[in-house]
Amino acid sequence: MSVRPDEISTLLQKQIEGFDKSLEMVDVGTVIYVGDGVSRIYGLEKCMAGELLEFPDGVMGLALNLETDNVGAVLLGDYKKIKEGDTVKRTGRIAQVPAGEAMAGRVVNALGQPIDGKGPIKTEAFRPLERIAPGVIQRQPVKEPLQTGLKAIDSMIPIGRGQRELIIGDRGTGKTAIPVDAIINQKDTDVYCIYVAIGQKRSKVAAVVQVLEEHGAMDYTTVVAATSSEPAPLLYISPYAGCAIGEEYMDNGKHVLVIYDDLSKHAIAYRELSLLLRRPPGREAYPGDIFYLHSRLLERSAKYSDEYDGGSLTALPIIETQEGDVSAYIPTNVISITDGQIYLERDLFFAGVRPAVNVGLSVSRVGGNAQNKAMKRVAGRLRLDLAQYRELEAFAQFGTELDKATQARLNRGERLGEILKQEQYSPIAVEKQIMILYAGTTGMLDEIPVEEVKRFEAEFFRFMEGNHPALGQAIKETGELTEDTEKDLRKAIDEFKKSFLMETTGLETAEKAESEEKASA
Amino acid sequence: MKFRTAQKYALALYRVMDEKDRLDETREEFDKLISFLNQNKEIKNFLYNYPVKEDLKSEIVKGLVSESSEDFLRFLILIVQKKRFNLLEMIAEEYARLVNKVQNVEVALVATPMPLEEDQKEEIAKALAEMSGKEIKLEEKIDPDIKGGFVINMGGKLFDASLTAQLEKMFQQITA
Repeated sequence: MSVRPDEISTLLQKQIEGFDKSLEMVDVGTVIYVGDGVSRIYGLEKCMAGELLEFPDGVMGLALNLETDNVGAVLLGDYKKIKEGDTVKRTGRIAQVPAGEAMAGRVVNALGQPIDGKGPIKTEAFRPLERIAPGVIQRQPVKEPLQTGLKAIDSMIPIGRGQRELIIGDRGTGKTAIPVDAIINQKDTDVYCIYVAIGQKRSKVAAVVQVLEEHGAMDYTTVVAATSSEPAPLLYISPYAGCAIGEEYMDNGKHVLVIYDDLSKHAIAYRELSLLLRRPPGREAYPGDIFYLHSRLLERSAKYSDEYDGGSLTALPIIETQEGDVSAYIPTNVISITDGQIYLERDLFFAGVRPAVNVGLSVSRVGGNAQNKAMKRVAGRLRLDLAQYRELEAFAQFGTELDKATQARLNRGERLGEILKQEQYSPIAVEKQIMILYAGTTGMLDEIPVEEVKRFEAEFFRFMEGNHPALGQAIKETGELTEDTEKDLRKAIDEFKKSFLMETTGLETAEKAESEEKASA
Repeated sequence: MKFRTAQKYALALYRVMDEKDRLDETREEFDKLISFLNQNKEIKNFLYNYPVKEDLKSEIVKGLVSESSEDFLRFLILIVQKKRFNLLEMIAEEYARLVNKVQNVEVALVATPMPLEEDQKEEIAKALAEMSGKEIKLEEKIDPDIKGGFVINMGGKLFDASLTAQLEKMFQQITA
C-alpha cells in the first residue's frame, strides 16, 4: 500500500479547520506550596469543596480545605513536576468515575481509568464519587439473602442484600478469601461484584484478578485497585469510586456486592492526608472526621424499596486488627457502623479451621430475616450444638471418664466443626449446605469417624446429585423443609451412610449401627 | 499565618486612612517606599533584619519618609516596634486590594509578547470594564513565551488568548 500524502494533508487540514478556538474565562489560582501529595493554592476564590482542580501537565487535584486566603488540595497523580507559582485551573466538576455495564470485567484505578490493558471504557454514565446515602423513604428492610457459598457464614452469620457485614481479623487469617469466595459464588446470579483493593500489594491484586478469571467470575466483577505504590489521595478516594460504580447498578434495580479491602489502610491514607493538610490530629493521630469518613461510605449500602426498583448494594468492609485487638479506634468505629461482623481468629486458622470464623463472636444483626426457612431451622440447632460444644471443649481431654451425655455433645460438636470447614474457592450451593447441615445437626453423622467427615460430605453431595436430584431441587425452590422432603432426605442420608460405613469400616460395623438404630427406634 | 497578620495591619491602616480621606496618597507612599527599598537592598536588609534594635530602625525609617504624612510615618514606626516590618510588602498588597475593592477598581494583568499600543490598551480596558462592571486598572507585562495574542489575569480569572495556549489545545485535540 502506498502512502498518499495529499490524503494525509487533507485529513490534517480538516482537523485544523475543525479546531475549536473558542475562548473561555477560567478561574485560576497560584500554587504557593506543594509537597507530599498536597498543595496550597492562592486564589480560586469560588472553588467548591471536593471540586476537581487542574494542575499543569494534566495532573488533577481535589480541593479539600477551603480557607480565607488559600485552598488546600490533594494531588491525584505525580506531584513532582508541579512547582510553586504554577497556575491551577478550576474545572467546575466534582470528582467522578465512569459507571455502568461497561465496567464489568475491568480492572480500573481509583479514578476509573482502566489499568488492565483492554482499551478504553466505553460508557456514557458518570457518577460523582461522593453522594448522600439513600433516604429512609427509599429503603426497605433487608429481605433477600446474599449467598456467600460458605457453610459457616450462610448458616450462622447470614448476609442479606443491602447489609453491611464487617470482616475483621489479624493479618493472614483469610480475610480476603471470604469475599473472593462470595464473588465466585455469585456466578449465575444477578449480582454484580466490585472488589476495591485499598493499599494492597500489586501482586495480591493480580492474584485476586487471576483467581476470579479462572473461575469465570470476572464477567460480572469490577476491580478498583489503589495499590500501596499509589499516593494517599488515590487510596482515599478509591472506596468512594467503587461505591459509585455500584450505585449505578443499584439505581437501575440491580444487586451489587462491594468489597472494601481494607478500610484500615483507607483510614491510614486519610490520616496521612489530614496531617499534611494540617488538620488537627485526634486519637491515634486520626483526624476528627475519621468516623464520618467510614460512616458516610457504608451508609451508601442500601436495599431500595420496590417503588424504587428494589436494587441493593451489599458492603463487605474488611478491617485488619493488630494481635486481635478489636478495641482499637478504627475497628470499634467500623464495628459500630456495620450490621454485624465476621470475626476471624489466628488460633483457629492454625488449628486448621478454615474459614477461621469464630462463631461465638461473629454476629449478623439483620441477615437472619433474609434466610430461608430450611436454613433457619438447621442453623438454629447448629448454633446451639456448637455453643454447648464450646462450653465442654475444655473437658474433651478427659475422654472416657466423662458421662455419656457429655461425650455425645463433644462428638456432635467435633463433627459439626468438621462440616463447617471448607476449601478455598469452592463455594457450595445453599440446598447442599442445608442437606449436610441437616445430617450433622440431627446426629446422623455421629457414627462417622471425625477424620472421615470431609470425605463423607464430598461423596454425599455426589450421591445426592446422582441419585436424588429432585430433593435438592425441591429445597432450592421452596426454601423449606416440608415433612415429605424431610422424610425423603432422612432416607437418602441413611441409604448413603450405610454404604459409606460398609466401605470404610467393613460390614460388621454397618450391621452393628443398623441394629443399634433399630433398638433405639 | 503571616498573611493573616498582614491582613489585620492592612485593615487597620485602611480604616485610619479612610477616615482622613487619604487612601490614594497612602498607596502612592507605599509604592514609593517599596520601590526605594528594592533599589537599595542594603537598607532593606537592615530594616528587615530581626536582631537590629527597634529604636535604631525607627530613626532610619523617619529619615527615609521625611516628606510623608504624619499618619503613614506613625504606621511605619508601629510595625517597626511590633517587629513586623518584614511584612511591609504583604501589608501594602493587602491594602491595595482593600482600596481597589472599595473604589470598585479591578487590576488586570495583561501579558503580551510585545508592548501594547495606547489604543489597544484602551480597547482592552473598555472590554474588561464592560465585562466586569468595574473600573479597570491595567498592568502590563512583557512575556516573549506567549508568542502571540495576550493573556489577561483579572482578579483570579484567566482569559488566555495566547498563541501558545491555542497551539497546545490544538495539539491535544489532534493527539487525543
